[in-house]
Amino acid sequence: MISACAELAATLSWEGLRPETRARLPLVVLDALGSAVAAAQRRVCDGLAGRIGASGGRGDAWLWSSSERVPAAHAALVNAALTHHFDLDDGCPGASVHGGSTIIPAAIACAETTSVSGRELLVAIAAGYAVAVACGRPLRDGIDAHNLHPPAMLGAFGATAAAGRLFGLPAPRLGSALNLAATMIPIAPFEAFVRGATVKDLYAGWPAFIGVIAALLAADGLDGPSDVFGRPDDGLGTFLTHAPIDALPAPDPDEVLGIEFKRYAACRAVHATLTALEALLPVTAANVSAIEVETYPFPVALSADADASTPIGAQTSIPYCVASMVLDGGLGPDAFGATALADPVRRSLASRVTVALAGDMVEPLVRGARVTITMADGSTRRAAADASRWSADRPATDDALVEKFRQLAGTRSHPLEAAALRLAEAPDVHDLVTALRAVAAQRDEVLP
Amino acid sequence: MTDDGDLAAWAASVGRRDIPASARHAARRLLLDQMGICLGGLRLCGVHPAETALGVTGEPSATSWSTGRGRLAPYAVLANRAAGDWLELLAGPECVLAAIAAAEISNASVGELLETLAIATEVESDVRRTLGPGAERHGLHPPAVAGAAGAATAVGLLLGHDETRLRDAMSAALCLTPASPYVAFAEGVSGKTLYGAFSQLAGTWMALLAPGGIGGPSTVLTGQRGLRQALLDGEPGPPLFAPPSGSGRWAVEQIAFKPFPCSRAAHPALTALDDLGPLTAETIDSVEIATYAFAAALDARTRGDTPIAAQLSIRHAVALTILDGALDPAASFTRARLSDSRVQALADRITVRPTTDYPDTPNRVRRARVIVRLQDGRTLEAEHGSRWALESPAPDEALRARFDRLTGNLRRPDPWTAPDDVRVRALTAEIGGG
Repeated sequence: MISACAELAATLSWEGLRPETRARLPLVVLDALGSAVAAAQRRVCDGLAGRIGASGGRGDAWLWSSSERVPAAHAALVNAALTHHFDLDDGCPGASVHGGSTIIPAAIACAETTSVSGRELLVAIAAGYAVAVACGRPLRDGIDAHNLHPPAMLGAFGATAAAGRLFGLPAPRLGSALNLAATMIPIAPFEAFVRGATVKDLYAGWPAFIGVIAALLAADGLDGPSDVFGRPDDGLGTFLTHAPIDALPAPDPDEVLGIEFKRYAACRAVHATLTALEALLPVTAANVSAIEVETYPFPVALSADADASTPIGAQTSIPYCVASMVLDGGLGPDAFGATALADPVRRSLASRVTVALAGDMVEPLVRGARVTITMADGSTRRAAADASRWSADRPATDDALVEKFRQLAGTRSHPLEAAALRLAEAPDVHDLVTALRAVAAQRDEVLP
Repeated sequence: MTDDGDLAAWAASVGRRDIPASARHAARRLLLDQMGICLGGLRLCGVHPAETALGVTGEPSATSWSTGRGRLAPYAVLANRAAGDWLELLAGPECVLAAIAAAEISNASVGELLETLAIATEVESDVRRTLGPGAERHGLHPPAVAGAAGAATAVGLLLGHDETRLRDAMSAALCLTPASPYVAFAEGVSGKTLYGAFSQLAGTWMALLAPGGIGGPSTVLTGQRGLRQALLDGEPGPPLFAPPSGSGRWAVEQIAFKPFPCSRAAHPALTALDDLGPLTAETIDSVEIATYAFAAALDARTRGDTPIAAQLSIRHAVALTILDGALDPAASFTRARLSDSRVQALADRITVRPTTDYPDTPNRVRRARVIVRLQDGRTLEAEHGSRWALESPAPDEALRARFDRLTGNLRRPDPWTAPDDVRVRALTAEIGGG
């Protein structure tokens, strides 16, 4: 598996991608950068960026939320955390990888260092997604079953593939980098997410960091073990639920076509509920007596454990997310700011939301939800969703992704939009990074 | 105490007077041994790729021992620790190199460093006791899994973190602790040398980032979705934290230093072999080793075909000892030595099997019985636990002699004689690099 991944990552070409993939890749980048922009505008990772920026270290990669140039691994760490913070980053069904917040920041940092073209950056990103999904597919269910966080554990494979590709590693060295990354991946308990711990931001940042580090170490001759999946009693093999691994599908360079984007700023487990709820809006919160949510097992358990008093924990709380969506008409970053979290109206409405297991969504598993709103006058409104909005079988359109970016960026003419969408023709990533840095500069003018 | 938070609270509240002289002395032994091994690794095996690939300069800075120059602290820790790993002699917690770097940053004294080592070792040992069974169940290397927490504790304490910041650092480090699967040992790949080192890097980073707002959940170990439950697959785990009381021994006093430059799994067999006196390989028909199941399983996983894999192989460690009279940290486990046909020929005549005589539970009995069958029909037999095990700890003189032997003619400090009030910076300034 690793050999096949390394071979693909080292040899993939722009021409080797399907036309639909080539067309979609800039939008994949745009989606990730929209999340980063929203986070940078709100200064959510300033503490992290400040510490990393102050640590210096000569480098060629920019922190997107400040004005420091740092080593690529450090830029990957901070920019990935920034991109992930609001949980608006994409996902890959079946592999549970947030490529947008791990692969893309790592790739852009390495692309700055190596001065490659925009097209070469996009190929590296495609390779990253292909490798992350190929490695993640057989592991995801086992990782989930242990209450560990699959994107944090699996993201390093994609980041490593992209970094190794951009550093020009030949396939054998790139394989060594992937194998090294497999030994470094964080164990990443879900506890951090439901408790709202800030280290959750590093559940994207750390795998992105590992990706760059592993590629650099492999380039200098270090080798990881070749059989990282092979034994049911060792390491990642203990999380395997699909064996034998070599019988699994080869890495698919067009994997980005299967990406599920996020419409709502919340853990994906909450999205089916929000999709159902959206069909019932608008609703006047003051007239709501109760909201009953029925959904599949994972979000029910997750929500029960959520510490909704924290920005990150609230992203897994169905009552908090439902209340916010009713009040705001959507679920964006501002629902997780200090003002919203302390809002007594929001808290009151959340306290009127109950969550129950939908017996018909357990076996076979249906990642859906039903929402019933009971109004103060006794009337009820009901809606159901058998999947989340923008799930793989109903993917987000290109226009919808551009619109999402514009909403997050707060403008319909952000230079980043043009820079991302023109990446395939760009001689380098200079325009892209310049536009990213402008976000922080503009923010600092408004909010010094 | 049962909650993760209490671990940080205890670490933050331990005062100098709480640490007995015996624990301070033990911490000095630990410092001496790990410094000597890491410097020895540099002298004997050269600069580690972690230094050449990731030698990032920046602040806060700590000394990279291979160059004598400053590096951004997490990378100095990584390179210094990884250099020592080649010798497979390191024993004890994965917080020492991180603590030395943090002591440089904070301009701490040797005495403060020793106190920090005693506390951080206590924390790390407790984390390891809690997570160890689950880590082994998943084929993960327990010292590396627990090491990030120890390193974060040591760095946080030396940087003056209060209880809240210390808890943030420790729990964040545990969330990001590297998986470190055993397969790297079994295959004998060079990436194995990063195991403890990367844990220490992660712990160091998290302690540096905690004041920037990065923190983990206070229930990272014991929570419903925490590490203990995850790794033990929901089975009840060992209780968390029993702080040393007045008369109790500190964890730092219970470190079993490694007398042989190879996996600890081979140490009982090598100790037993010593009892048999010199042997001539050509006269040996076969060697049978019965040992505890965990050691036998590790041996069975490796072909011993690389220097690192051979360090894990009981068969190769025993064969090399018989052929050379003793294992040498630099000369025994080399590709050249392993390519000697006599080594493999003798290793092929050695069998290792598990025996229920030495049970794994409730406490692992680390012993081995070695039966040597000679071609003349005679049989020699010996049975032993590891030399330098807890019941027969390494003498101070032996550790000091090893430090001198490993560091040779390197320009280096003497952590054994350095007074408590000397700054650690003064010690590391004596490391000359090269």
